[in-house]
Amino acid sequence: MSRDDPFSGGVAPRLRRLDQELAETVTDAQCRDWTADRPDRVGFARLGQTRRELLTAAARYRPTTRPVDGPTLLAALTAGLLVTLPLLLVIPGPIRPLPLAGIAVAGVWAALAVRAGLRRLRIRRSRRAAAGPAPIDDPYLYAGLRRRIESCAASARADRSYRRRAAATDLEYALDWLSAAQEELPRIR
Amino acid sequence: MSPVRALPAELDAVRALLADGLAQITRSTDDLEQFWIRSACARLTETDAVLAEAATGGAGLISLLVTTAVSFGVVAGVAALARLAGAGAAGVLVASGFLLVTTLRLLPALRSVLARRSVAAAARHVVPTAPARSFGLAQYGFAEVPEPLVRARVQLVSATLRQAGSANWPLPALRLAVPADPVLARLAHADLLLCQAIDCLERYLDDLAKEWP
Repeated sequence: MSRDDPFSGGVAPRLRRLDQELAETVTDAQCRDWTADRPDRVGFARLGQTRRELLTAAARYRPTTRPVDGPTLLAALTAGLLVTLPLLLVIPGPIRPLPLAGIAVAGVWAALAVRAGLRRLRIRRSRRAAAGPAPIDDPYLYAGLRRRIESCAASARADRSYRRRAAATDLEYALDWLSAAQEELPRIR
Repeated sequence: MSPVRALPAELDAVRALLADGLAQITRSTDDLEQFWIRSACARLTETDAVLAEAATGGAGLISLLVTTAVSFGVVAGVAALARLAGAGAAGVLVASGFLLVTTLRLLPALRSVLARRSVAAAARHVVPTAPARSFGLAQYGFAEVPEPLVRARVQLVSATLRQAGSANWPLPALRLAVPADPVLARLAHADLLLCQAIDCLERYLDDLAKEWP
């Protein structure tokens, strides 16, 4: 994976990607626990702790924008073409501030409505899909996460700012929770 | 006829159970400053805050209002400034569109920063520091995870599944529906925090069984 080598970019975007993958895994495992498909309330809780430490580390950097997903992009393009452009052509004097702001609000609402519709459609279509294997059971997931968190921690440790060097400590806590999630320490009962 | 249960009533029941379990912990342990106990208490108070937020509802409406107000203000301000600067029609459109998209992309990051701060402040306030100790009970501690917490988790999961609707119970639909709906996302976060608290207590009991300090 050339995308994740330590020279590919800042730590914050890498942490953002890690956080998204972890969020998907945690949600999947939690839903499996709710529907008694794979009843285990400990594994996803510990992965959630890992995610919390990752977020603490990411909060020491500047906030980054998350990448735009497919439905949002499609909804924005649709709203721009079908709502904003006709309104700009129809309304007289659309460059004055207040009409322009009104047109923008109409476009934003249309984009939000289209996105909600697309999401609902996607949920409805996935009702009959088959649920694959749980990603939380995948041992390679833990290996990859550990390697990437370690490379982030190495970059953070070499940072010039002491504030961002403290992120390395959070990432070490994240590694602790990750190994706890993988090993499932022996518990009572 | 089963009684129709509204979500706020159910969440109130869950919060009562949580308060019961927290009181049981603070009553029966001596070392509230112990790492696992402190983490568990912090997670429990955070769960309570998240549940209170989910019970009031209106999260989607508030975020819609904020988005509307922000985009209106940004576009009106940028258009007025560009006209003052003497830009043409194309310039005004390009500048306002670019700034609108940038602001809307930055908005979730700012919101998550604010939410994290407010939740952390709430958790810091409510964590009990001085235990209201009863006589003689404290030195025994507790032998298992308090029963109300486990019951609270069961009730919370059933409330969440009922909120999701039975059409969404197949796993792939549930996996997509949980992040898409703000109320379900809050409930899932609360459930995650509650499971973390129970896990912290179990690790504490495990350490006690291994005679670790």
